[in-house]
Amino acid sequence: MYQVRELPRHISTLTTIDGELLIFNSQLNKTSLISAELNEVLNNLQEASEELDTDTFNLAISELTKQGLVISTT
Amino acid sequence: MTRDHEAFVTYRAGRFNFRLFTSISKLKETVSQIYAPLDPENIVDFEIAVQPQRWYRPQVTFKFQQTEPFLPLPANQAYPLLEWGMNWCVTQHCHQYLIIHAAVLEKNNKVIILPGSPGSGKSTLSAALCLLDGWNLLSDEMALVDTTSGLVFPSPRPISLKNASIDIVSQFPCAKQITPSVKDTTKGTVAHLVAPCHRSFSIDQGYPAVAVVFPTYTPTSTCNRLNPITVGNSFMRLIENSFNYHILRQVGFDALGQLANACGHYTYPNNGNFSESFALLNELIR
Repeated sequence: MYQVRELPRHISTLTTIDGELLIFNSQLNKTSLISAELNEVLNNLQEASEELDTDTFNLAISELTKQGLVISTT
Repeated sequence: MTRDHEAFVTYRAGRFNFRLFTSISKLKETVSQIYAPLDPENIVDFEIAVQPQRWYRPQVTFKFQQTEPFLPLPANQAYPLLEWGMNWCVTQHCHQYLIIHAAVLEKNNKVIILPGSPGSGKSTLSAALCLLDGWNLLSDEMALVDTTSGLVFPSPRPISLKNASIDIVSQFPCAKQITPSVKDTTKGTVAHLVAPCHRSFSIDQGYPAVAVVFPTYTPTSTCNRLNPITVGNSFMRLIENSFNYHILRQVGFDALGQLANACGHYTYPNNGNFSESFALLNELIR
């Protein structure tokens, strides 16, 4: 089971008009782009964990974990 | 640096004031023909020097304060070296702007940004738009994006033409002011074109961009068309084309976000058919 945690202070996000998510990590001075599809996952993560196919879900979790946006819990 | 007025020329280049110290009379003459002169005692943003050195295979050096950011170049490359040096001054110091390597063009009070790596055809396309289709050049080398408003500020300077584009642009009927070609530079043969100004505009006014277009010159392309790309895709490409995004950090992210979310984004593979380019790009500002 996964939970989306509160954004840390060093993370800024911007949702584009195309539905993508841009993430700026000020500690790493790094910008990342999350596709609209994955952003949708972010928005509905709890539900998505039950609805998406495994590959898509794992990809989403991998991307989001890299950004420090997802913590794994049991 | 001495204050002998014969030793320097003070001028406005785009948004910035420069005081150039040089003993190269031809360079002073070229600068006086291209840039608006200022009172010699005017406050300037940058005091720079382009000076000759060596009598054997003469060279020129560029200096800003005590820094020499470039290796000395052959003496005939004094003017290109000055242009590159001025670009360096702005990109290294003017962090009140997010600076993107791009041409910026305006028509009907609407602005498009043409980011592009060398060889993309950005400057040739910009020259064609200015000389043949009534666009105003707000900048050839760098889009200056205000970090608070996301507006693009003009900084018009000559268009840097390279290699084959020099011959192409020289044949345009309005291409009256082009500096002599300088061969064998690190960028090949280069020349600089002063673009005509079709209407007066204030360089103190910022403009909202309506489109970001990434041109790529593709001679084999059978048709020219604008391919829409997502804001996020364009955002990441703009970072790659930015000189100081990594320095501005959060401020750069916010400024680029404002700019990117407010306009359309396209790639533009084109075969150099200018009339098709004019039709497509004019469509963006209707």
